[in-house]
Amino acid sequence: MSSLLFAGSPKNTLHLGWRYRLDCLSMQNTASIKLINVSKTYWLGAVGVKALCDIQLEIPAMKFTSIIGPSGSGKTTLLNLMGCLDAPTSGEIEVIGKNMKDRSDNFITDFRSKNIGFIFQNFSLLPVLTALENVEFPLLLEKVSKSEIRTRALEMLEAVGLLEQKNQRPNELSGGQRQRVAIARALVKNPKIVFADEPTANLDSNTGTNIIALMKEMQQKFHTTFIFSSHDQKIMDCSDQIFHIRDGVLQRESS
Amino acid sequence: MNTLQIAFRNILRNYRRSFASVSIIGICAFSILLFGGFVSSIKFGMETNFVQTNGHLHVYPEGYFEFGSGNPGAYGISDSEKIIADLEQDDFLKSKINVISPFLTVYGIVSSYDKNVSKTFVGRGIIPSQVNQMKHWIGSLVKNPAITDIGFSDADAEAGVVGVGMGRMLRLCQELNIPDCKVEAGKASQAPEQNKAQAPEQNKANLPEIPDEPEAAKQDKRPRLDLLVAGSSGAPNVVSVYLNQAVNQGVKELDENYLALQLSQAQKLLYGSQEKKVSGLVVQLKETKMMPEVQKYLVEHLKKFSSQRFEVKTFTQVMPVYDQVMQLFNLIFSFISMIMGVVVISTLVNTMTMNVVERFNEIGTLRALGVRRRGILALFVTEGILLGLLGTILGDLLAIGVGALINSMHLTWTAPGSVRPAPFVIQIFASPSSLPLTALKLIVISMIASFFPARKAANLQVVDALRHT
Repeated sequence: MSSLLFAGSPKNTLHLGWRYRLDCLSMQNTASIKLINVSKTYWLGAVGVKALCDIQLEIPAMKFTSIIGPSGSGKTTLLNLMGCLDAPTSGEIEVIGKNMKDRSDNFITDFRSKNIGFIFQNFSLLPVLTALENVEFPLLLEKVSKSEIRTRALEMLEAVGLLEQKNQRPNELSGGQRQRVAIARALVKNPKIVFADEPTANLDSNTGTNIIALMKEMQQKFHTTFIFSSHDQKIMDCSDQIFHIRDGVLQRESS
Repeated sequence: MNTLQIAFRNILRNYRRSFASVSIIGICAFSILLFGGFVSSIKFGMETNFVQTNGHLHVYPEGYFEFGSGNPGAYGISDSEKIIADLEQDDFLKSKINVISPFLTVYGIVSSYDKNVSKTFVGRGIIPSQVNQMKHWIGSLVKNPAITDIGFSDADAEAGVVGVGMGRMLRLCQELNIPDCKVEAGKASQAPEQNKAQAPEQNKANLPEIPDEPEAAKQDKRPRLDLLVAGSSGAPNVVSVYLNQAVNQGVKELDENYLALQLSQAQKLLYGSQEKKVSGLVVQLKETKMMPEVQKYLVEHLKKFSSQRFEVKTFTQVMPVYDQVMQLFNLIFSFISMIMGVVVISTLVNTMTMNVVERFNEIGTLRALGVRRRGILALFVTEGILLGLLGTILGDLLAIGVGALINSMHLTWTAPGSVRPAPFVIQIFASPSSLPLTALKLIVISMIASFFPARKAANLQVVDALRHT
């Protein structure tokens, strides 16, 4: 019973030299995510609301990519589809070379666990766990020794500057500190892609600036692909690539 | 950090709600255990009462159980001493039998010459010392201080006791010190001389001659009864019995007809000068759990007395009221358990549904981080099980505490079919499995109750769950 929460996850090996990904060079010029004619329709009773229309998109690996647009434009829906949190009504999505069409829920869950990290607008930390335990949590889903889990989580907390707050619960941390914990949690498994859905929306300006700087630093340090949805100009300013979306339609791409 | 630890922390997170749920489950466990302890007390009380009076097994001549009361003389066990000696020396039975005692049931008319009154009676011829030995059998976990001896000894050849109702009807209230004894209006006892004068001469001719009172008996101040029984040969026999006391028999009908006397006196009444037989043998065992195997053994063993055929009945067959009462209480217990089960289910479904609804976003986060559906299911079911476990522990402790408190008060009650007050004891530990079994049942119920909200949580779409804040 005690291990059921963590049962069934992929038994992939996390190498000790996780910081030094050997495949980073080979990925540098390949697409991290590819969307082919992706549409998404939500049904409100008998009425269908088209959130995304025929999206064709390629996001390169190891870049800082932003998706921007007004509220209700479809940013979060697009992010959810790329993060394998939702399935498109039509079209195909390839994430790190894997086509996600008609995959089982367990396959997608395991794929997410192995390859994708998430940073949410409202931080979404587990309130019953301390900062350290929150960072450790994704590693518990893997076959990793306890000591290694602890070492990695501490290193990651140190990287985001929260080592002193490791035993504090989320309700004892400030908004900026919570988002740092969320970043550490997203990166602790060294995922290939991190999705951040308006990560600075609930933070004050200074804290937001610091968080963006931290994510940029992490992206450079760990060669992770960062994909944002945001209105924040500061995020746009430091993005390598920006996609504009309006009314579910991809408008243009800028750098 | 594992599922159990996370589930435990989640329970503590909303401690007021968890405490309310644990309390309700605890009260349910407490009620089930306490009532179970009470039912055990009734079971052991009745069993002890029956076994102390009638033993575990009855050996009858074939047919006596169905037809014996109509013609007791025709159904008798010959050579009972020889059979008893054989059973007492048997290697298998030796370690299991506490007492084997013969008895003879007679039916007839009892008359109090002094009070000028007579009525029918059911007499039981016994060996007082053996009946007293049976009365000290302790079946329940608590010794009953209210147990008293039968009221006369083997040495007192003409002694006997009657039921309180019988004593009242024979107008012996004063002589037998019967408390709260009502005297029939206008039927005050008449003098023996007046009685003699009123007795019609023609009736005297039809009655057997009442033996003259011996000189020693005339000195006896105890009330005397004359018993008239149609003997096995058809001729009426008469003996006299001197009453030591009246003992309440619990059931009114029996109480108004009951008379216990020496076995030898009863044999004299029924068989006169013929071969002395007995109606049956009462076998009291050391433990009730030995009853089925001893019954089976006796049925086979008694076949060696080829001149007679026997049947062996358990006390539950002889006194079906035991099974009826137990069935009634088991039914009530099942009903109460069922209600408690429903209360636990509805409480936990409500609590767990609230937990799921409040934690939609958290569920979405867990799923996004890579926890599979069955991981979510396991987390919430574990929380339900933990609530059930904590409630059960609380209920167990409460039941043990309150049970001990009640037991320390030394309360008494009178079991159905009994006349003696017995200790009112909550026997929670009467059955070693009652505590773990109750706990297991409640935990399984908790698991079932939490399964449906947990399934709802597990089946949530990740994006839908994440949308909740």
